[in-house]
This record gives sequence, structure tokens and C-alpha cells, in this order.
Amino acid sequence: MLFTSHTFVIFISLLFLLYYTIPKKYQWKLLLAFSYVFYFIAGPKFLIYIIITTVTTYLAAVRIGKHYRHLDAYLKENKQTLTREDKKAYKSGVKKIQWKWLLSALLVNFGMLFVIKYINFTIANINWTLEVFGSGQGLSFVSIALPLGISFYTFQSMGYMIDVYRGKYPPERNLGKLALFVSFFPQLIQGPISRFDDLAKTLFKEHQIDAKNMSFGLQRILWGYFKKLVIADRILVAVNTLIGDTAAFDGSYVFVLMVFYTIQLYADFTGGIDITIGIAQVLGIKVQENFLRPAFAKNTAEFWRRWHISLGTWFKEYLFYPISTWQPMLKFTRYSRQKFGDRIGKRLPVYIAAFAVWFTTGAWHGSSWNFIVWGLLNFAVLMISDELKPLYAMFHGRFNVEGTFHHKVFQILRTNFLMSAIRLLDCYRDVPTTFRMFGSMFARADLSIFTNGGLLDIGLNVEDYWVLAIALMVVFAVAIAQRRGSVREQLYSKPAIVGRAVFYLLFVAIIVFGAYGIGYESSQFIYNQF
Amino acid sequence: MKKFFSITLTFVIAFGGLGLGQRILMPKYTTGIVEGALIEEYYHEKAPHDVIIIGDCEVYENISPITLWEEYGITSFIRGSAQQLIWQSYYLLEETLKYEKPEVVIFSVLAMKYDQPQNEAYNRMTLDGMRPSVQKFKSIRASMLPEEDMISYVFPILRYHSRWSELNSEDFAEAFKRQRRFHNGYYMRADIKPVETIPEGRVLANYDFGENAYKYLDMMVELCKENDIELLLIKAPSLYPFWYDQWEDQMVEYAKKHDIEYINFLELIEETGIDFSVDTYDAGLHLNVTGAEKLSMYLGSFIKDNYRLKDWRSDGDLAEIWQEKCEFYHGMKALQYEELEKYGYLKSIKGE
Amino acid sequence: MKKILLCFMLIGIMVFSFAACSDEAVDGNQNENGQNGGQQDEVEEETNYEFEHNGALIAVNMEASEVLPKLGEERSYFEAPSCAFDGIDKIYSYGSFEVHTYPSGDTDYVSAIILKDDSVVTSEGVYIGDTKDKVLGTYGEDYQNMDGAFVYEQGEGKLQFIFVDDIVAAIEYIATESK
Repeated sequence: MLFTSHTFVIFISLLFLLYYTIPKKYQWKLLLAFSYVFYFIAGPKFLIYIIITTVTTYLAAVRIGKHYRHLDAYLKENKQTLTREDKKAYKSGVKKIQWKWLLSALLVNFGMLFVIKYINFTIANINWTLEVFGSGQGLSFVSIALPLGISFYTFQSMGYMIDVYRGKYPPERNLGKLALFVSFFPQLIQGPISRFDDLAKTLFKEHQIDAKNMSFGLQRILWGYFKKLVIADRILVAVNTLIGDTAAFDGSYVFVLMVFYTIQLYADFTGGIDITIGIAQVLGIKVQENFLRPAFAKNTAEFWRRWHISLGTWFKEYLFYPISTWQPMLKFTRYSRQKFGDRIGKRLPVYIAAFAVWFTTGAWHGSSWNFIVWGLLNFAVLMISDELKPLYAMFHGRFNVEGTFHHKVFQILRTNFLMSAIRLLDCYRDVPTTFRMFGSMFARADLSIFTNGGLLDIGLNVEDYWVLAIALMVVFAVAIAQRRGSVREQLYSKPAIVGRAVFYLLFVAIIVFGAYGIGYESSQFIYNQF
Repeated sequence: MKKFFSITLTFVIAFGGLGLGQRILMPKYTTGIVEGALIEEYYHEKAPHDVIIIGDCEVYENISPITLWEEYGITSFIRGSAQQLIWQSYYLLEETLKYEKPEVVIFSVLAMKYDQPQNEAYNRMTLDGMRPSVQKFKSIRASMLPEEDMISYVFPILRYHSRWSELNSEDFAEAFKRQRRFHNGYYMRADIKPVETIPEGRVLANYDFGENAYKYLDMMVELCKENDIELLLIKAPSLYPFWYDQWEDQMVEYAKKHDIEYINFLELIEETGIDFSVDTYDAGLHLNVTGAEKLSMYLGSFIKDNYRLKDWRSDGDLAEIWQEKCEFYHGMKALQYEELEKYGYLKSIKGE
Repeated sequence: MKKILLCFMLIGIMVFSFAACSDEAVDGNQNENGQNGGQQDEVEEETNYEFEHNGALIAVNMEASEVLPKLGEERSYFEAPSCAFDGIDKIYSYGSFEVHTYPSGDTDYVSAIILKDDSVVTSEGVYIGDTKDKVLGTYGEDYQNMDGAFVYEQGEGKLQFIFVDDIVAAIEYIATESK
């Protein structure tokens, strides 16, 4: 079910109505039911996967938790009689068993994810390798369709598993509640990836009708639809046209694509998250922000702290740190510091861990090389900018520009350019083509397309551009206003008529200017097949 | 209390605003493709009609209710629309019966060739003009193509919102009250384009009319029987689309089986006096005003001879109403001939 | 403990077999959406069935302005008006066959080629008057049966054979996708 379908609007309206009319103790159960209905509508035969994830996660976590309780009880009981060595030995014995449970759960779930998502990619690469070595044979491809949200809910559940293993919090004893955590439907399509202790604060509580909260939530939902329907879906037409004909749309058109795709991605993804967070807010549930005005990032590192925050956090927490603190890795750090000196030696293991993280981040986005290259390019940029730090320091020592407005603008533009350029790999899907097209932007630059009506040949007319311009200005204004604090709070402090007028205007703008209906391609929400 | 009042006011303004927007955004079909404005005109009728005619362009371009009135005193209305599909005709008829009960219903059988929903644009032209009713709902359901959905019929703003960039003065001028363009459902064309050659019909794999089409024809027969209405089936004298013998046979057989009258005007060219070098405006697909009048003369005479309808010319009130209609009709005819003299083609229809 | 671990393993194996044996029809390159929308299916470029006349090859969805000059002078030309829209479909008759066109934007494209008698033949050698078996032998079994007609789909169009008493009565090239 797309967020922008009539069915979905009816679906959540029904949910909102029921949620606040049934006895409060059933609210989370209602959410669970609706989440499973949502999943069922998306594809009934895929329910088995999410159920397997839920059950295996539940069992393993409960088991691990039980061991922790036994451990605590045992240690408490025998506080006097045990020596330190005994305690350590016992703990490590328990840890080993817990590790086995964790490993099983990780293997089953990540294994499922790998097979479903990456088996054909793996086969393709095996075949290619075989070809290179002259073998005529090849493996045949498997027909598998992706269950909705598998990348998101798998990561979310495995995060929970690892947290329980680390003893961060006790496991959820109620299978139903865990099932809701895994399948909470607003998060299924594009996240964010929540932490259990965070989400559980509000997910299972009993919620009163809170008019302010609900109206804020509804405003947020409308805002998301505004970005998605008025901006993203409108500019998508141009993006598809530009991607569809690489022969006709090279040179300066590639730059146009860079800009337009960035706009589309931002509007679509942040809009979708707005809808997610807004729905949760109406239900009285707090879902963490996933974006923090990413367009204003001044460098790539900062960008990744502002964009798709939950994914970055997940990888940092569950991949980067484990790798960096892995015993063999620590040994390697010492070795490399000896071998390559302190400076490089210290950074090498960090870079290795980061490489692994970015490789995986790329692969998470898609089971093809262009996504992996995208991830690695991000890594390259981060690594290079890290290495260039002394050079920058020298520059800023000489010229007093750091911190000035112009410098900030330059940094913002540079970061956006870099990120948009790397993102071209998303568009063209093929690595050589992407590099070729990017090159043509300089080699076959043709700035006349901006003046001779070339921009009217890609699926948008003058009125469309007006709508986009005005809508983007509104978004920009809101972003600026947000720096002073929540925009909705600011509206709330004005007379009621202002808030209602804004609400109404947003609604009308979506209905009239939204790029939906017959005549517009029905566009899937970005990240839909996760 | 104040809060309740202010919330209600908010809702009223909000929905009122959207409603206004919807009225403005919906297409008015004022020029070019005017046929979209046909259905809506029925609801402004002030007097009942003895004859209701339903069907596609083969009725609304080939029959002149004014001629039927002037020559025979027959009151009629054509509830026709572009490519009106048979179930759309059926539901229009069922809906009409809520407003009046005619003596005779005439249906053009060309629509039998369309067994399934065809085209979204034509659907809209037929359905948007209907007032909300159970029949409209059923008609929409039967007509929807896979890419359509019910909610955009209930709230047409969802379908036409993208017209915001094409709005013109007529969208505002006719947002509430529409200008009259037709003559009891007749679309007048005074221009002439003679018939040249008509291509032969292509060989078909299957000449049987579809089950769905027969189903609705049966329903129509049933409805007329229940309501004591005489049903008359006709095939208009259009040379294109090709009317196959096999189709003709099916209709003759059907009419015989159900004891209904069926007239095929293609076989009555001599009797009606239609001359395809002057009586058509699009080389044989439809008749123009002179052709329609000729056909209506014959049709009117047939109706007079076969159905006992009153000659209403003696009724003072009706005569007054129809007098105005006739004036409008002849006025438009004169205007069209004037335009043809001056420009050689109908500028106003083209919207220039 | 070990038993439960074993259970886990079994579930894992089951899951893999689920995944592998699922018969969702998806093309081999299941590309993810990555950071942007929609899946871009790789469409194979199939050619359309072609008809040859006067040395010219014509197929559906070709531009009419390219095709028609090669066919010479038409015997007759008919603009097919429709119920409400201006005459848009055009029919060019060449005696033994017809070419139908439809407009898309400002260009006319071939929507159908209708063979009318046995003086013209398909590129694969089938005439009006040939037997059903000849059609099967020439074009194979991969057809759809629509009310007795054999419809072979390829590319953006289809080639349709209508039979009367098992003899080819009509041959039509029809576009299934429009520009």
C-alpha cells in the first residue's frame, strides 16, 4: 500500500478512529492487528518471513535474558564463596551460550535477508567470474520477490537482539509486543530504524486523546504529503525522462539530473518520514527524527549525521564499533602502529572498519554494484577529507575565512554537489554509464539548455516550474524557521485562525497541485521495496 | 459554544472552498469537444417528455426533437452522450424514471458492439454530468477502467485538479450556471462534408455481441416492460462504423424474440430522403441538421402511426416552453449558416 | 539447549528453501530501489512483425510520414471520426491492404496494417486463403486464441489471423502499445 493511495488514507483514518474509541489497554494490540493487515495487503505470502524474524528474535532474546537473570541470581547467591577467577569463568561460560543464541538468530535473519535480497547478485557475480575463467556453465537465477520492509525490520530486530545480548535492557517477554515492534507499519516502508528501548517508551503505553499532539501529528502528515505529492512526484517526471535517454540528455542535462534527483530524493524521503512520524504522533507514539535539515550540511561527515540518521546510527553501533573493538582488530591496530608509525597505524584500522561499514551501507541500498560503488565513494570522500584536514588547517591559518557566511555557503554547496554527484549512481544504475555521463557534464557542457527552452523538453512545463519554485521556497522558509525551534510550536503560539489557515492551505495545495492521478505515473515511494 | 461555532464555521468555509475549487476546475466543454456538456442539460427541463431517447452520437446527432415537436407535437429529450455504453444508457434510463415516465424509449443499438469499458475520457463525459444517485454509482462501477477509481468520481477535484494550469475565463463564468448548448439533447451541426469512400468493415473473428451487452439490453427491455413503456430499437443511418450483416441479423432476431420494434435506418435511406452528399457534416459518420430533420420527419411519422401519443401543440403551457426552444434552435441554425457563409467552417464550434 | 539451537537451524534451512522455491515471477536482475523510487525493469527490445510491400518494410508504431511515401499513391483515404474527438484515425487504402494510423502528439503512427486479399503476403509467407496448419507451421504454437483467431504477440504489436472454416480470412498487424 503506497502512502499516497486512497486506500492508505482510509486505512489510517480508520485506525485513528478506532484507536481512540476502544479501551486504552487494547491500543497496542490494535496497532499490531493493523500492522499485520497492512502487511497482508502488501503481500500475504510474505507474512511468513516477518513472522519467522519475530519468533526467532523473541526466542533468542528471551533465552539470553534468562541467562542474564540466572547469572545475576547465581552471582548474588554465591557472592561470598566465589573467587574473582571463578566469577569470570562462570560469566564467560554464560556469555558463550548467549553468544550461540545470538549467532543463531543473526544467522537465520541475516541469512534470510541475504538469500532473498542478494542471491541473484551473488549468482551474477559467480557467473561473471566463471566466464572470465572460460567456463561455459553458469548458475541460473532464482525467482524471489522481496517482502515489504525486510531490510528495515530485519535491521531493527537484529539491533534489538544485539542490545539484549549486550545486556542493555531486558528482553520483551510479551511476544505480541515484540511482534508490534518488528512490524509497526509506518516504519515498514522506509524506516526509521528504531531502537527498542527508545520506541518502547511510547509504543505500548495507553494513550489519551491529546488535541495538541494530534493536530501536530496531522500537520506533520500533511507536510509530508505536500513534499511528496507537490514536489517529489512532480519532479519525478523530469528525472525519469533524463535517465531514460542517456544519448539525448547528456552534457549539462546531467547537472540538471543531479539537482533534480536530489530534490526528488529529499522531498520524497523526508516527506515519507514526515508522514511516518506524523502518524505515530497522532497515535501518541514518539518516533525519532531521521533527518535534520541535511541540505545545510557543511561536509560529508556532517551530512551523514543529518541524513538517514537511524541507518547511520545502526551501522555505527552494530557494525563499526564491534569491528573496531574486535580483539583481532585491536591486535592489528597495535601491529600497524608498530609497522606504519603512529599516525597511519592508528587510522588504518578505523579506515578498515569504515570501509566495511560503507561497503555494507551501499549493499543495503541495493543488490547491485552501483550501490556498493556509491557506498565506497562516500567512504572515499570521507577518508580523503579526513586526510586533507592538515591541508585545510594550513589554508585557514593563512586566509581568515573560516566561519564566515561565504565560507559556510561554499561548504554547503560543495557538500551538496559531492553528494548529488555520487548519487548519480542511483540514477543510471550502471557504473560505467554513470562515470561517462558525469564526465560528459564537463566535456559536453551546453549551458544553452538553460536559456533555449531545453528545460521544457524533459516533461515539465512552465507552470510546473512555478509550482516547484514556490513549493521549494516554502520548504526552505520552513527549514530556516525550524532553526529557531519547532515550526508547529511557533504556529501554535499564534492565534488559532493562523494555524487552521496554514493547515487548510497545505491541504488545498496538496489536492490542487499534487502530482497524482491519471496523467501522472504512479510512482512508488522511494525505499518501498525494503 | 463559541468553540463549536468557530469549528463549524471553519469546516463550512473549508469544504465550501474546496467545493468552489472543484466547480471551477471541472472541465466545461465549452468549445471543441462540447459533447461533455450534454448530460447535464436534462436536469434543467421544466416539462415532462413522452419520448426519451438514449444512446451515443448516433442519437444525439441524428434526431431533432424540435422537428418532432414542430411537425408532430411530440415532446422528446435525447439523453445521449459520446460513446455512451449500453449500461450507461440503462442507468440513465433508470434515473430518468425518477423524474418522469415517458411513453416511448428509443435506444440506438450501435453500443452493442462495446461489451466492456472503453475509454476514460468518454466515461467522464457521460458520468460527470449525472447528478448524484444510486444509478450514477452503479453506472460508474460498471464503467470504470482499471486505472480509474470511485473516489475520483465522488470528488471530481481529484481527477481534474491538474487543470489548474489550463483554466480559462469560461471555467469561472460557467462554474455554477452552464450555458445552454443543445436542443433537448440534440447537437446541431449545419456544416456539410459529403461522403467520399467508406472503407469496408474488417473481418472479425467473432460477430456475436457480448454477454454483458445482452445482459443490459435484457435489463432495458425488462425495465420498459415493468413501467409500461414502449421500447424502440434503432440503428442510425451512419455509414461508419461499419454495421455488419451479422450484427443486423442479431438485432432483428432479438427484436422479434422480445416483440420489440427495430428500425434500421440504413435500409431506409430512400424513404427518409437522406442525401449523403449534403446531409452529413463528417463524411458519413453523423448527419447534419438537414439530415437530422429528415430522419426526424420519418421517425415522427412512425411514432405517430404506431404509438398513441398526444399532440401537445394544443397545450398552452407546453407550447410556450417549446416556442422558446424552437426560437433558440432556429436562432442557432441561422447563426451557424451565417458562419459557414462567412468563414466556410463553424468557427464557434472550434472555439476560435 | 542444543535441541533449541537445532530447532533454529532447522527453521533457517526451511526459510532458505522457502526463499529458493518461491515462484514469484521476477526477472533475474532484481534491482533494488536504492535511494530512489521505482524499479526500472530492463525491457528487452523486441522487434515487431513486419510487412513488406514494394520493397518497403512496414510495422506498427512506425511513423506514418516515413512509411506512407514508400507505399506509393493510395487508392483512397478516409479520416475516421469518432464520437466526440476530431477525425483522428486515418485509413489509407491501397486496394489489397490498408494502413491505419493514429496520432500521438503531432505525429501519426501506424496503428494497424490490414491485409485484404491474397495478392499480398506476410513477411513469413502466409496469404489469405492459406490453411490454419500453414499458419501454425510458420508461426508456431505460441499464440493466444481469441474467439477462434490466432494472435501472435511480439514487441509493440501483434499479428492476428482470423479463420473462416480453418482458412485464413483476414490478416492484421495491430499495435498493442501506443507511443
